[in-house]
Amino acid sequence: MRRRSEVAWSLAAVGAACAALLAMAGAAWAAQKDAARPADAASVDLKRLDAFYADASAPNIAGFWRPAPGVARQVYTFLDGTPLPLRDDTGQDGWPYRPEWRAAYEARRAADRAGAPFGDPTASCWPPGLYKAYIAALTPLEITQTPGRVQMNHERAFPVRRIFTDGTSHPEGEALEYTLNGHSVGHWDGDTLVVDSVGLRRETTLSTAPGLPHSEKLHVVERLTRVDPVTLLIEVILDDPKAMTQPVRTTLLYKLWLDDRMSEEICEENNRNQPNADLVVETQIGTHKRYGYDLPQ
Amino acid sequence: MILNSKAAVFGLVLALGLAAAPFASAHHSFAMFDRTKDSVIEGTVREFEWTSPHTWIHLDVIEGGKTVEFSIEGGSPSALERQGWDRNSFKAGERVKVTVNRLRDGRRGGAFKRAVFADGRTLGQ
Repeated sequence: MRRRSEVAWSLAAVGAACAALLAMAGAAWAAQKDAARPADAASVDLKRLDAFYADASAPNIAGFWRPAPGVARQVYTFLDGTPLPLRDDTGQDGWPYRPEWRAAYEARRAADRAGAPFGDPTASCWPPGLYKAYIAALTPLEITQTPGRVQMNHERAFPVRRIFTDGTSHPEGEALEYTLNGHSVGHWDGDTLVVDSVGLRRETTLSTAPGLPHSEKLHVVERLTRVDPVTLLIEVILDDPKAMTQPVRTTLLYKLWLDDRMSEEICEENNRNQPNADLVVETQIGTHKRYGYDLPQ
Repeated sequence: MILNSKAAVFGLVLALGLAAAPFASAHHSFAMFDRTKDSVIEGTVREFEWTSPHTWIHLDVIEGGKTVEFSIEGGSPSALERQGWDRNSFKAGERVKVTVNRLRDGRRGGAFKRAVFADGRTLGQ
């Protein structure tokens, strides 16, 4: 009898635990479903709606910007202002990499010097990603502002980068998706738009070839200030505690162009760097490890 | 903040402007080209491809009495059109001398540097 009641009790306990788990899963699912539902006029959180439109009066950095004339190469410093040492003729390997990350970079550089560069995904028309989009080919940058968003559209880079200025925070844990542009949130600090980005895929690089690597722990902070009506100053801090021993800072300078516009450029139109290309340029992808997979775990 | 002062901005422009200019490409490494040496290729334009991510000038070149094709990679249309190029910058049949950095592996190809046409007109990038 006693034994039987114990069994029954255990079964009840297991049942209750299962029910609780199901309820929790159900609640989580419902929460996710809620998040994906259209806003409802009767139940919408008006405070959140206000926040979404709050930046209508925010400082305006919208415009068609191009890198200031004469700006050809980025100058990088540590946070105290000390310039990075330039250890080689590319000026790239003075970055504060941890040993195994430096080794990964050296391997890329050796392959590049040998005329057989590793497979940088941009060679097969991948977008350059958040930081390389600024520096790769010094292309124009169109910025638009809409309620709750600042959009950055670099020519030759896609998709449009969205900076959430509606109070959104970064997704955490499993919810954070890793993308080429990352997840960016911004807020106005006086006249300056401060942007914080995480969730960056390790396939992108922080420089042109041979390509300074970064890990998925890269954290980017940008400060965008329209210092006069025709000048946009962008301070960028690249902080990758997994790959580097300390953050690196640089500054980009853009000028407003009133009579220029974005060109449509489709990289896939005539890319001769694809595998098995039979024309004059070498095959860059296929025989070598593709960027991202050559890095320490 | 120091960066908000005009003097600092001017200093910054100066510092950045004085830094050496690399051959920036969004697209691929230029390791395949011998960038230490300029070569002049003289020929007749067979075809000009006004395409992304690179433009291509294909020349008929006389080599040892035979006509061979030499292919030259240029910048993207979006970058070049801001420097005065268009899809008719090279016309089939035109004679032209093009300065290039040749492919390191000896194949007939290179990266564009500048062109001089028969009438003296020049194009750079």
